[in-house]
This record gives sequence, C-alpha cells and structure tokens, in this order.
Amino acid sequence: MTELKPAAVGTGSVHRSDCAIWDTPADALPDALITEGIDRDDVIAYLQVVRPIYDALKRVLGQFAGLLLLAQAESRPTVDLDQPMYTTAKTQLAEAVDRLRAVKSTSAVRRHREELNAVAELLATGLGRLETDLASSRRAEAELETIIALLFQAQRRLLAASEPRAGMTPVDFSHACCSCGAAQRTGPQ
Amino acid sequence: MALYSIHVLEYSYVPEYHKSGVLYGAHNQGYVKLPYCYVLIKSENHTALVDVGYNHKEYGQHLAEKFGVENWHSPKDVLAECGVTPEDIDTVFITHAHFDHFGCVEDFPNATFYIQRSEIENWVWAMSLPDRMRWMMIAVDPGDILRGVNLAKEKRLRVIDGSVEDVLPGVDLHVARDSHTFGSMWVTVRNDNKADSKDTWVLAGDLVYQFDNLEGDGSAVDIDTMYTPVGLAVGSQMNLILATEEMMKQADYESRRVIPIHEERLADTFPCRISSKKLRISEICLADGATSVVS
Repeated sequence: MTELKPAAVGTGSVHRSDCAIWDTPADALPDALITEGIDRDDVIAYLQVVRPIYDALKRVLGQFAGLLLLAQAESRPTVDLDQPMYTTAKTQLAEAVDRLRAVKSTSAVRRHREELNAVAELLATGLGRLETDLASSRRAEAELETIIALLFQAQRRLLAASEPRAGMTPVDFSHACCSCGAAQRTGPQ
Repeated sequence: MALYSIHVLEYSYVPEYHKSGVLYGAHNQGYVKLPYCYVLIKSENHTALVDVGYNHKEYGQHLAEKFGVENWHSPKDVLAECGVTPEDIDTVFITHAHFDHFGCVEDFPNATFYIQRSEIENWVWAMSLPDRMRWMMIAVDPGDILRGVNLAKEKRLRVIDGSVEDVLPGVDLHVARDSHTFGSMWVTVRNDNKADSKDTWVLAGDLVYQFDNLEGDGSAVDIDTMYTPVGLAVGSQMNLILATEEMMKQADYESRRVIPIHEERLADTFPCRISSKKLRISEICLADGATSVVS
C-alpha cells in the first residue's frame, strides 16, 4: 500500500503527519469529506498531491488578509495592486488554481476536492472584487465588507479541508511557544 | 505616585515544557512549567491588556490538549478575578502575532489594539516564501490576521512603526525587530508618569520568557549572571540580547522590574494568589488608592 509521506521527518521538532497532536475539532476533520477512508491508496495519493496546494491557499489567504489589514489600519484607500507582496500572492493563487485543476480525484475525495475548489474560488472572487473596486470611481464601504466576508468564508472552508494526518493544518505549531511539551513524551512526534 | 495597578493573569499553562524552548542552548535539561498569561494594566481612566491569549473557539482547546496545555479559561473568567470585564478593556497591546497572543481579539469589543507594522508586514512577506522556508511562517494563524482586518475596518487597530511614547499616560511601546518574531513589541509603564521615571515596569512579551533569560548562568564567562536569550527566535539571539539590555536599562537594571509572562517564579517575587479556577494572579504593583486583589 502507498504510504502517506510525513510532513516532516527527522528534525526532532516537527510532528509527523500521523502524530496525535494534529487531532482537531470534529467539525474541522475531513472524514465527512473523504468518504472511504484515508488509508486507501487513491486517497493517500490524492492527499500527497493536494497538500502543497492546501498550504498555498492558506498562505494566500494570510497574505490577502495581512495586506488588507495594513491598508485599513493605515487608512490607505486600499491595497496597492502593484506592490510585490500583492502580485506575489496573486501569482501564487493562480498557480494553486492551475495545480488544483490538474489533480485527479476519485469519488472518495470528491467532497474534499470541492472544498479546496471553493477556497480557491472564494479567494479569486475576493481578489477580483478588490481589483474591480479599485477601478471604480465610487468605492463603497459595503464592497470591503463583501471582500472580508469572502475571505472569512474561504477560511472556514479551509478549516473544513484541513487534514492533520496529511500535514494539512491551519496553523504550524511545530516551533510555537507550546510546542512538544508533555505531548512529546506521551505520543509520537 | 503610582498611576497603574499591574497584574499578570494566568489563563492556562503547560505543566511540562522543554527547558530548551525557554532558554537558548538548554538542551537535555528537562522540563519546566510554562504559564500562559496576559497582563492587566489599570488606572482610574484606563483599563488595558498586554496580549489576549489564544482563540479557544476554533482549535484552541483541542490543540492545547494535544500539546499538554491545561486549564484554559476565558478572558471573562480570568478578568473577573480582578473585577474587570472584557468590555471594560479600552486598550490592548499585541506584543506579537503568535496564535497564543493574538487570538481572542473578538472578546474585547470596546478595545483599540496596537501592533507593530513590521510584525504584520513581515509575516505577509514570509507567507509568500517557498515551502522550503516555511519555518519562518510558524505559529501565526491566518484567521487571526483576518480578524485583525475587521478590527482595522472598525478603526480599532493601530499599526505603529517603532517606539511610541505615552500611548496612554506614562505607557510607551518599543519594538525589537527580528528577535523573537519580526516585530516583537514590549510595553514600558512609567508609573510615576515622569520622563526620567524612577518607577518603571517593563512588560516583556515573549522577548523574555523567564527570569533565567535575564539572569542566566554566567559561569562560562566567569561572571555570576548574564543574559541568555529565549529558545525560540525567528530573528536572532543577538537582537534578543540587545532588546534585553534596552529593557534592563529602562528598568535601571533592576531585573525584577522586567516582567516575563511565562514565569512561574513570579510567585517568589510578587504577592500572588491562586484563583478559584486554579490560575495564578500576580500583583506586580498597585496604583495609589487601589485595593489588592491577591490579599
């Protein structure tokens, strides 16, 4: 049987994808999305392929949110669409969408795949509205509300598509302040 | 004259945390208790917090349990021990964007938040880097950043660039760039509200985890004590040492005035009590006329 490649091995400080630490709340587990078990070869192969896409989408979400935060906090009209941080995020999203399109999936992972598609579409829609909004002469506060709402929806869908056993988690705790305390001594790392 | 009462409020803890995470280079030296705390600063006119803990609602409880974090309680329960509600908090200083410091922003509907620009900007940059550099992206929840957008939209987030004096009367903010994180901040309270204060308290965030970071073993260089940086730095240990020196200088080199929030031994230095939730409250100082909450 194909083995799921661990997220990281051998560093002594990063948890393997099968570490119990990655257990997350039931509503965030994709068991309901992956209908026929994570141990099937086709499911494992699928998760190997989508893990970097999941990470890319997570990061794009963080980048858009950070750029919006800075723009809002500094009372700038909005994000500067020419700045490298924005163009990089946009490029990464486009690459992630392309890679997602190329992923072969089976019925067992159809719903999980749909969640990732939804995340990508929500991010792309938010991005599109941001650019349209900027091009408009009458910019509306309501439009920003819509963009933020889209990002929050993307975040919820991303949480739903998280799969700790495959190294897909919303936050990387591997070196965090609480990392590997008692858990290191009681379970696999 | 003392303007502010300052209390360190434990909201959860890790009973056994590897010491090398606390103290740079302390490999194979066992485990220490690691309290998780935020700091309440209260005067007649202001009620402020340094950091807000982590978001228990989304993943906190589950992950915390898996990491050995115990006994989490909400800001409402923790603050109640001091007669304060989350709604009373008018100012929050976020020392850095790690999930356990920037998580519970939604619990404080009336607060204005402060964070360093370099902290957010560099996280955004780090998130754009390739997978092979993902170590630089650790411990930040994109969801927290997203909630920060809402704060900013509501004009309740101030992104500052470097040191700012008198954010509140006698309260200054300082940045230690590329240290524990990209833009870690510490808070200095000049409790006599004088420019050349003789009553300064430094709230160190995660730039100092425990007293050993201030007074580590100096025998290797034939002195009693020396600064030893925390175990986790996205930036450099050198910048942590330089920040420690600046904090100590502000405290006139009286190390007890530099307050580490992950320090169980605050109990040895300051009056304290254990609350009904079995969490520690350490009373760093009292404002003139204020009543103790630990005795």
